Amino acid sequence: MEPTIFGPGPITGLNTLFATPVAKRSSRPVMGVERQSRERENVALTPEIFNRLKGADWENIRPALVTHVVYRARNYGLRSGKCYAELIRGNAPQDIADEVIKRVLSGVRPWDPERGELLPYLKLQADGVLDALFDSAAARHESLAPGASSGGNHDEHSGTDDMIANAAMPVSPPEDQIHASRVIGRLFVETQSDPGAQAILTALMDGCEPKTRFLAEELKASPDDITNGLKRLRRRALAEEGK
Amino acid sequence: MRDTPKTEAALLARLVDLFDEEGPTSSDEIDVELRAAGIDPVELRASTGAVLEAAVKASPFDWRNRAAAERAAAERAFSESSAPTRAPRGEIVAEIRKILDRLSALGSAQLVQVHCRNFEKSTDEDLAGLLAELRFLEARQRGPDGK
Repeated sequence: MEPTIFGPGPITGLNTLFATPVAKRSSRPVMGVERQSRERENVALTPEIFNRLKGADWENIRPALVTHVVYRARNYGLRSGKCYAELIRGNAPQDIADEVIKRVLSGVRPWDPERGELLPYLKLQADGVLDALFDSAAARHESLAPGASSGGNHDEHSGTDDMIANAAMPVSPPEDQIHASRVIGRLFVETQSDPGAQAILTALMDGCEPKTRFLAEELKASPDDITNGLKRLRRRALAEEGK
Repeated sequence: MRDTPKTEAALLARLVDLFDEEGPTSSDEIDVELRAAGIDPVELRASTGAVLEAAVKASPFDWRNRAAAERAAAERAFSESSAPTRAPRGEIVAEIRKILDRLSALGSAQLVQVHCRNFEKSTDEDLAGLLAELRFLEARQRGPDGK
């Protein structure tokens, strides 16, 4: 088996990322995605739950978890224009997934069956690690630029107030804007032969809320049609970026 | 009022938000995604057994680790409870008999049988050790709430 594009790198920094409990996050979107996280409750692993974990369908759960890590990392790479191997700091997706599994089995991140199925919980734990890795990558590239649009009511603010407000708002660095422009431009060209996919892009551009059900409503399509259209868009976007 | 994305980066972010909403679910989709990342799904599945075995073995809840932890905890509890007894021999024997009676009432007939003996033939040290052991056993039988 040839080395993956993620490389065989060590689990650098993973222990640190797991050291912090998955606390309830603020409502501030993480890289444009609002993630709901469980509050850290006083849940403990019991022998009964441990036995249930041992008997879980790991043959299917583990590949699904590794895939989730890959999927999200590739999406983030698409969003940011960065190589997703760099985003997850050279850790193999399997390592991230296996570390999550180990922590759940050891009780460090105890699963409570009363609150839901195992795989969604594992994905949530993996999301916590990935978000921290992505945030770290973003922090290296975020810039504060005065003069960026604040979206506020300019009539009510002095020029000085605007500058102060704008200075506090992080904006995408120029290379991210260039990357996005390239991806979106190509997608519009590529989807000329795919009206369903292009309609999704147009609806988003027109301000439709980025949720499958709202798009289905707006485009008078079924949720399945929207889901399939999104899959086609993602394939095209990733193919274009060589990711 | 609609919130239209102000930049292409904002539009791309919304598009990726949608991608994040749902990921691969079927085996075929999973295999495609894994292969795109250079991961062999067959090898991944084949390695799952070993990975899980290692994770289970490393867990403090695995019987191997629990046995060692429980033994260590019991040893600690025993050494804490077995303070040296300086009472006269008669008092020690009397307390031993009382504990044996209580253990019998708790349904611990086997324990009582094992420990019932002709105390006249035991040395003072033996009796002190037996008393410490019985105190420890009684506490374990009653549990953390003392019942």
